Amino acid sequence: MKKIISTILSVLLSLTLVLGQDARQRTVETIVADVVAEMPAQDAAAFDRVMSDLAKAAPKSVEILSSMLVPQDKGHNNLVEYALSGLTKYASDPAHSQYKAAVTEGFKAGAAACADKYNKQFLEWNAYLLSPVTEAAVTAAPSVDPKIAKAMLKSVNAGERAAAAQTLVGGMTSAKALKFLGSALKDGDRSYRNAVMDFVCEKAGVSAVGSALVKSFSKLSDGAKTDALNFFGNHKLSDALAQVLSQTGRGGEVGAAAIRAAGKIGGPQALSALVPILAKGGEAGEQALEALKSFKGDISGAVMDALGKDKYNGNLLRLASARRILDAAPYAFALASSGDVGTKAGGERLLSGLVTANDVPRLAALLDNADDSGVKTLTGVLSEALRSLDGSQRYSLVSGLLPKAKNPSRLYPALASSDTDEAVEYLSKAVSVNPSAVAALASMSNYKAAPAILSAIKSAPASFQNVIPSYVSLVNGNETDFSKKVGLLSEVLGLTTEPSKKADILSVVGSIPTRKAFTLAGDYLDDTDRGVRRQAAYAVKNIADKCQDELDYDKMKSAFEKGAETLLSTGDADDGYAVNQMNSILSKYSPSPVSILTPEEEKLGFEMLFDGTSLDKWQGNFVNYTLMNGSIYVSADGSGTGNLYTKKKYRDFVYRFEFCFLREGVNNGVGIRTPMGVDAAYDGMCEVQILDHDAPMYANLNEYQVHGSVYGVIPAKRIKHKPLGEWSTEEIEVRGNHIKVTVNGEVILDGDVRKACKGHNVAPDGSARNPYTVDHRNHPGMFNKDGYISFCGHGEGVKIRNVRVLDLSK
Amino acid sequence: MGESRRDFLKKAGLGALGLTILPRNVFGKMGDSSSRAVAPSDQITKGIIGVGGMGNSERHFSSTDEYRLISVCDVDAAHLQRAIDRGKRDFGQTLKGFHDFRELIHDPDLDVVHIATPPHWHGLMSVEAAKAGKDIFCEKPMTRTIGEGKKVVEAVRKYGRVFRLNTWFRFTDTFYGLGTTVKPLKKLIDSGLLGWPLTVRISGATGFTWKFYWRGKENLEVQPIPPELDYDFWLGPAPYKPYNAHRVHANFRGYWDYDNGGLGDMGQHYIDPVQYMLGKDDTFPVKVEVDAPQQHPDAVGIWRKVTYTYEDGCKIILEGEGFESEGKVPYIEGPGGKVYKGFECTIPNVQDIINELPDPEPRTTDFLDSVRYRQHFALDEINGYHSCTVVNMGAIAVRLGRTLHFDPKKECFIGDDAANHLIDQPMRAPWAMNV
Repeated sequence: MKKIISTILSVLLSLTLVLGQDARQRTVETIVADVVAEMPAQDAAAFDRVMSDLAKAAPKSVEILSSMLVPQDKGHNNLVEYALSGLTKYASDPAHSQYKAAVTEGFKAGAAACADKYNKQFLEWNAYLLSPVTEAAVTAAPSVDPKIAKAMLKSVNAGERAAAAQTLVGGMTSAKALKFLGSALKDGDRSYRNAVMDFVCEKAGVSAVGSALVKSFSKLSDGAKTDALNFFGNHKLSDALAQVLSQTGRGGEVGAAAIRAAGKIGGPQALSALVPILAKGGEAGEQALEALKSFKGDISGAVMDALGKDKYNGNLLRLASARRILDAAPYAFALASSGDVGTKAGGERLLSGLVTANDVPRLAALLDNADDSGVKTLTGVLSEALRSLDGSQRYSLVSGLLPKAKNPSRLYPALASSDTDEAVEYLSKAVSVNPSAVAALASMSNYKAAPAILSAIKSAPASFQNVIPSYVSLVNGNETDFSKKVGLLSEVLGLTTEPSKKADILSVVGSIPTRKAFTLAGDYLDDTDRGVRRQAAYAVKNIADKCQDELDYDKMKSAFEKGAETLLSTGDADDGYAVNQMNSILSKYSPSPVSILTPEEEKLGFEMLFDGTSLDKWQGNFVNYTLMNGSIYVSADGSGTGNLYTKKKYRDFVYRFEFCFLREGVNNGVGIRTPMGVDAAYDGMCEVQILDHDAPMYANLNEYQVHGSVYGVIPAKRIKHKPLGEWSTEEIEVRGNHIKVTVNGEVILDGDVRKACKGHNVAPDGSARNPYTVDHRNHPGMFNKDGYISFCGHGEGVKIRNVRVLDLSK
Repeated sequence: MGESRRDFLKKAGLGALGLTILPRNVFGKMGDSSSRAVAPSDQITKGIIGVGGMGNSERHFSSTDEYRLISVCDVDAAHLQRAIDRGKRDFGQTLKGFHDFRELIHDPDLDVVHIATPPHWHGLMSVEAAKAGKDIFCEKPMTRTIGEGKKVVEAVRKYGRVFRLNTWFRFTDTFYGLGTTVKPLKKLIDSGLLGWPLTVRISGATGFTWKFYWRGKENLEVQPIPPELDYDFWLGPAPYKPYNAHRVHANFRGYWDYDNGGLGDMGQHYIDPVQYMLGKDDTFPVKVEVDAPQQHPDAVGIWRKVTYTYEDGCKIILEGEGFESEGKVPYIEGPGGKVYKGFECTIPNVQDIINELPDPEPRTTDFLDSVRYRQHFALDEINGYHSCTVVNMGAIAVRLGRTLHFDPKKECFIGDDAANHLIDQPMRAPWAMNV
């Protein structure tokens, strides 16, 4: 239904408002139709505008819409569903309550008149949403009938017993409830005991339950003691600290619960109890460590006091390290300098968390003298010590230490952490001396490090597989040129052996929205590894979804088919959805159109050279000249060279085709009577220019270079090209030395090549400069008797279709 | 030492039957115990309901000496058979297979019910499991409606059960594309250095994807129900709508009847840690605003932005896919500073400062320990209910397309009947949630 909008009319008629019609004098039917045509609304303003029209026309608008619903197998309801549910949203909005009654009435009438069960259900749901919420809907759940609760306490199902207890406790006084808890704590079932504690707590309060548990604590079984200790800890009951601390040495679940509770309750007393447990070690020591890591408040005094008495206690130092108690650093340094291998290693580990930038020279010295495992640990510690410095500070500090180091390579990671250009330069040079510089480079976020990493991987792929992921993420995060990015990833993919790494690279490839990336990912759809195939499938799907270049329907289809086969075999829900997504992407494209000869061409004997389906009648560069949705697409993809040639040779002919520029400045040409593998403009009869001469980059073009010119010989009339993406027709007629070029029906060149150069296709004196041609060059092929017709050049971005030829020599 | 699990886990009758209960070493995990055989009485058993998607994943379809899978349930006979075959193949065990989840739940050999069905079943099954005296391991989102969540909380408490909601970022793992765990963020926020109130931005720009591919289709044609699927049972409490393959299995998230699209799928993963970090585990936002196209009543669509505001001015902003903020976007922003991906922070030396602070309050993060010692799991039914309610509030606002105000005490929307109807949605008979 066409939308009725007429401002003048509405102004005139608004003076005579009629009931049942709106300001624009539309009937309700028209309003409904107008609204349906605008469904779904894309934003709140549009929504409010159309819904207010509908609401004002309620209940009739609702009834009309309701009657428009058809049974699900008889047609589409979505727009009407949007309109109706939209109206429910609008009228249920407290800001539009004036419409609620009429809209509700409409839904009720609509539902009553509706014969289809499911549509009726939908209409009733709308009426329901518009109805007031009754208190009943939010009443509490029914509890157990008090009459059966007592009996239910004997149930074998602990859950039922808990539920019974909840009811019983609910009906008790606080004192009774506490007594009930006393007996429940004797129960053998822990879930029941804890549930009752919870219920009684609600009745009598945390502190009353706490006091009761404190009082009865000594008499509780070990199991119930554990529960009580957990309760003390969870509620941070400092009144129970005596009980808690009395159990910390018990071991087992009771001891563990006590230590945990002491940590949660906190305070100086708990701290003084936990620190010795920590120092003593063992299982309880581990539990105390956990408790003290999260112990609230400043614990450094207690830890330092204990360390004063027990200088090299490993557990105390672990805590100091975890909580960054820097005063403990000297102890850790002392251990790290020990002659005993085990002690030394322990000390090195403990340093982590205890160092600052001031410690860097000292750490560097330790690192220089460390054993293998020490190198690993201390590298991490050094990086922590450097954390507070910025890049240039790090670089100057570390580079200053390099000359003194026996093992300078151990400082490479620290140097790399500066991320400075100087560090890249230093490390790139160091690669030849020490391969560990490669790993350091790979740890950097500075993109300048990438070339050195890649050349290292190339020189010895097997040794540098481990830096590939970092290299890929460096490229991924920094390379903004998509084409370069795909090239780099393609290169490193070829050097990667481990399937999981290949899959990771493919997932990066999948984020690049270009055809080149699509082609690259497509190459891995048949990989022998399932994980690689799966990631390739995701990549082609993701690229196709967001691709900024045109993709060929048939290639996409075959890639998706391969991908779907892999994805469906995993049984994973997301994978299944990815297949659906592939189908939906594909459904937005249509299969390639096929060109056919006009009846007139048919009669004259034209031959179809390219109808959109195959390049069978062509030869040459199939890398840069590819099939694309019914066109020959010319691209710079891959490493193809050369031109595209007809399979047959021609002398005199009429050649027709359509071309379309996809980007500014496209440059191609039609080679005439040319041999293969040469420059048709000189070694063929000639090249007829295909050029987007309107592009600003060609502002200083010679006139013999514009589109349609016989390159270097006869200038064409300069035309204005159609906008990018639109198709133009072209005809080139060649008879003897005569050439005629017609673009979009206009003859833009009509001339004789022999006449144009006065018969001197080459300089009469044999020199390279030919005064007779406009480009002053020799054109030795100009008088070829026949040759191929070609498309020449492989700059990105031109499409050609519907190529036909009429061979006049026959 | 200690008491056997069976004493507190199992029916009271066991001891009386004179069975020998083997003692267990409660700290076995800490020592060099990897080779220690687990006594049968120390095993905790689980049964999975829903073995088509999550329940069939490597993460969950597992069985160990300590935590043994004994049964599976599915209303799709093909899924059920596949799971049983897999049990034989992977663990050499004959799993009990059920069509009706109630039979799985009432199996006396079972300790933990693992709910991996579509969300429209989560609440109902959790309540039934609690009533049967089972502990519960439930996939996110916790429940499809706010009202169902409330009932799960009640039931778990009433029957003295342990509940774990299965998302985990509040206590472990790198938090999606954020490049950090939640722990240092929690410590930083608790330190007060960022100031207050805070704004948290959950967006593609901060490392989160909303999976907008979970979208429903309109005008679904009526298709024959495949013979292996009990579609009526699959729908259960949801309204009966004619079958179309796109409604079920891998695609159900795109329909409001069963889930809330990408927001339902990922929302609790992303929002639960924020509730924790902001210290909001016991409350809710007071306002939710949305910017979204009009939604279809059946098929879930996309949205551009959802903004939650708490009473104290803290905000959570969700940015839809394709509608992300431009430029360098902070994950958390407060008057005192900003935190970006990878824990990059505008406060100097933040890592050192954080290290000096105590860790966040310890929580039980081992589900089996929760079961053994009846301690609340780090993500239990209570904070799970709260964060799921935040998700559901957003979904309701998207469905209704308007700003909603929420009363965190009464746990309902203020002055909006339609929104309140969506808190407690009717169930199709005979299904009902009776706690």
